[in-house]
Amino acid sequence: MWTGFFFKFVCFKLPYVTLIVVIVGLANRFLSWLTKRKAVALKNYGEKSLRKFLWAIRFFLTDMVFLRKLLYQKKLLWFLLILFHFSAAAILFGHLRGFGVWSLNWLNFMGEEWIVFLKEELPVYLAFTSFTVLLLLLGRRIFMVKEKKISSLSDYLAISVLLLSILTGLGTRFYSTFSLSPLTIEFLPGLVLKLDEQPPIIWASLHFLFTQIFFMAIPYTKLLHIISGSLSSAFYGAYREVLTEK
Amino acid sequence: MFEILDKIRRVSGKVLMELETCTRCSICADTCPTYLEVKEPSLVPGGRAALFLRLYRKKTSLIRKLLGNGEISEDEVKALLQSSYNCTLCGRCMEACPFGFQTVEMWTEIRLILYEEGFLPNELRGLSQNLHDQKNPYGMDPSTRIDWVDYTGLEEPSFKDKAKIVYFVGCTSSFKAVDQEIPYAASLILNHVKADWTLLGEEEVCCGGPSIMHGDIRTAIDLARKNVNEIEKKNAEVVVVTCPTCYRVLKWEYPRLIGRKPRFNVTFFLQYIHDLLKKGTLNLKKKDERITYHDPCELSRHSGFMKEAREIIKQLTTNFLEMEERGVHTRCCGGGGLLQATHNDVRLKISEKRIRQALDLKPAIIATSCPTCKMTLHEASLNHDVKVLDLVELVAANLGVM
Repeated sequence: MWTGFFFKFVCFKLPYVTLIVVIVGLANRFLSWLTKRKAVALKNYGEKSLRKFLWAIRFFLTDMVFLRKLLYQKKLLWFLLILFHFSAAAILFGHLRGFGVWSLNWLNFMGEEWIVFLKEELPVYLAFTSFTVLLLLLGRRIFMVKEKKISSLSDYLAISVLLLSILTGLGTRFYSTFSLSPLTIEFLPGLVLKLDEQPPIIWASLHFLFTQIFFMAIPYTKLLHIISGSLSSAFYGAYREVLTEK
Repeated sequence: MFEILDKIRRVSGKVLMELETCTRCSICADTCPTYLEVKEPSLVPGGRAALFLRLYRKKTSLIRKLLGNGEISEDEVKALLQSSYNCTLCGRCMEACPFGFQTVEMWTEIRLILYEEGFLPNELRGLSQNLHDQKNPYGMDPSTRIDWVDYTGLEEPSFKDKAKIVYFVGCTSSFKAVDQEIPYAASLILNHVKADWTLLGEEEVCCGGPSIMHGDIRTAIDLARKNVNEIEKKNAEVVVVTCPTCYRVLKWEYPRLIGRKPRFNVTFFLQYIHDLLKKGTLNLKKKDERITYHDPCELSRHSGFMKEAREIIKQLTTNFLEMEERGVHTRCCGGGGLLQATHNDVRLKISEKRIRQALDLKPAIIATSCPTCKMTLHEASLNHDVKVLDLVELVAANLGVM
């Protein structure tokens, strides 16, 4: 009975809390950045130009998306982080199918075998990959002296929440007492999840819970880099362009 | 009631964004010259950012205020002060940072906030006073600023009321014996190409860089105004500079310090030589000396000059040797960020490492383009069979004017 109550709570009540916490957190962050005095570097950027904009895009792509600087300095860490970020992005993209953003029918040309692979197997491999890499990153922060010394409690919590989110996501696939009837959940008005089969309720509830905690943590922890990392990379790109003006 | 570090709230929006974005990945640690020598976790750039952010949150977090733990202790400020000044401001952490945080700006903002609250390492109090009183960091009498002309035996120094080019010498080249050959060489080159140029003489004051580095913006503004006024009086079109810190400050900081764009352009001397070589005004004779080049951080990472020096050296020698850490990834010589005044032992360790990197290539000459780098590397090279010279000196010698 409690599982039913818990399921209803995380599916129909918590999303409102999540939405408010995320919006308030992000608004607070952006307002605090925008209302403070302008940094010296920004004043030195001079006039806006298409070239600066293109350089900003270039460095966003090379540095934020492909982690160029890590590749230059730490090849193993670069490999692990690329593995993690691309797996996580692919998992996120896969989830969008449930929210109706895209459909597997679009890929029918690939044949039944590939469709099954994309639907059943690939998400599991991706989840295992990102879980393993994240575990290694947590270990790095726990056991390596300088990383440990400069880490705060929120750094550990952020990784832990993400680990739990992935782990419980995997649980929905492995502990399958699937009901073959489809499941539809309207988390928020317009945000509807449609699943072909029902996942085990406890794992699904836990997955929804940790995923929402993860979203709520974004504005308040280092997970903020998901959003602001793009901005700083773009600023760096514009700065590099300015230095070409001699 | 006065609260310690209340001005921490005045951090700029962009720096705050970067501090809050930092994931404490500590990639920066493996390239930070001071951390690599001292191995103290509080010196990891990401750790410094985390400490500052923690103190900022103490002042701004509503929850902390409600819980009553929003006070910053003196020990915390001391830790921040210690970490902030155990840094060469070389900006290598910016190049290491996956997010490209403009860390030098971050560290100078922290120093500014500390200074405005009255926190300054004791070792820097004299230097700060010198900048205010004598208008140079070395505490030298301003009337001795052009003594280098006599010491070097420069026969035709140029002191004009009006000239197209003003040569801004800078304090280190003016007052430090080891560097006085740099303005000597630059002057000889300017005379050699018959440029319409002048020195500012005793009217030149510090560019303001060292003041900015320890947060004394008021003095930096005074110095900037004085220099701009003197340069504009000469109706100069361009100011040529042989010190990368002076170049960066004149070029990028002066507009904000004086509140307008100065009525002159600023060019680094290497660029000037590079242009003369391109035009064919200067012709160098290629020799075969083994020369390596140390990119000054201020010139490469902070000002974007990398290819000019290399193109000039390639016209000087057939034996140009590149160090592994170069360009924007250059390793600091240890001389920046006022480290000499605060932690000279660390500075010497850093410079020894850079010299060893250079010596691995077995060069006859380590060339650089910065008086501070030259001074620091020269000190570290005293027991080795290698010369440390500024590229301007090499060009002048090659032209046969020196």
